[in-house]
Amino acid sequence: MNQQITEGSINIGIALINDYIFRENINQSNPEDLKLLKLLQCRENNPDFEYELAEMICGDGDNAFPYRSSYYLTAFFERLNLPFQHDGTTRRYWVEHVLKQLDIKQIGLVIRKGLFYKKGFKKLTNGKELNIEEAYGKAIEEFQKFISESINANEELDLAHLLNMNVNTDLLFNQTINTKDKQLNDLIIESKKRFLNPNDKQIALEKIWDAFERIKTYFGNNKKKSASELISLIATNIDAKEFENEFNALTSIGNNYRIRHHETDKKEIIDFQQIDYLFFRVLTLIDLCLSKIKLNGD
Amino acid sequence: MENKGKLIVDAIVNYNKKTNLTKLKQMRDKLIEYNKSTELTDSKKLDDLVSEIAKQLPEDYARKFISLEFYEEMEDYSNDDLPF
Repeated sequence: MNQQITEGSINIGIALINDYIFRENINQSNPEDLKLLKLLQCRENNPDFEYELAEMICGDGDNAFPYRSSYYLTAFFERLNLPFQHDGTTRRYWVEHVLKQLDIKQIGLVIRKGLFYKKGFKKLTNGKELNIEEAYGKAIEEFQKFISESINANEELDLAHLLNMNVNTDLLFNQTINTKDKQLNDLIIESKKRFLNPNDKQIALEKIWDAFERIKTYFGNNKKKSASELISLIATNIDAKEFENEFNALTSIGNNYRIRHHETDKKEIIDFQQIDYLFFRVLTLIDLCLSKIKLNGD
Repeated sequence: MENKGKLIVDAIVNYNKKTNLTKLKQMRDKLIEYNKSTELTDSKKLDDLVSEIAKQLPEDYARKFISLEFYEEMEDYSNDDLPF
């Protein structure tokens, strides 16, 4: 067995370097550069970019582009001053290999002056009711779809979305509540349980607020003194003032809205998204307090 | 004062970027030369160039560049035996 240089591989490497140099030298105020940048993003995001473009150039399958035989493929590149001659192999793979050897500026040329060379669409309309403008428009539409799919091709789907979960929510919900204050534990556990039932969210909010008021007295019946001790426990590296503000803000919300008090002058919260927001805002604060209490030896 | 510091940092970053790009362009030109030359069998020269170029590229581009299959195996069909 002997080794030889793979045909076209060095050209592919050179195209890759040119793409990087183009990216680094891009002029953000030049519309031409911005168009090519979008094309480059498609190329970088879509691993099948060249193959899919090759299918369009070949006019393969049911796509909206004119069919090109071996002879016309060579002519296609020749017209663009790109010296590639079809070698008889499968057309779309051959075109794909050629496209890989072209840098993004050359790809732009292939699309602008080759793929969308209007005269090429003429034979598509031969013997059909379709006129050239319609055929051309259809091809533009198909190409735009290809661009939009290429841009999003690499988008990662968050696993949490697939599993229908919110990682933060699960982390908060799976915490074991085991403080020395049984009533506090029960309130938190019940509020979480209630929250999972959409019909019980309002009750869940009331329960978590009760837990919030309860945790303020964790270090004794003097609420102010105990809350202050709790704040100093959680305020590591963050000013205690920030947590004081948060405690005060939540206390005020609890007193002014129909959460803990149900007098007619209290404003009702009916928006489910706001209920979720308030529930997690309090739960997160309680969770922080619990973890610091635990760390401190309960 | 802070602005002045940022300007200096930006200037250094830009200078380094320009220097790296100049070096990269030089190496790309060497690769183009190599591709045109008759030395295509000098695999050491190509390997050295590839590794030097990869150093000038950011990680994602370097990874793609290194993973290009520059070589392929070629069956040796020659036969020293005489056909009788």
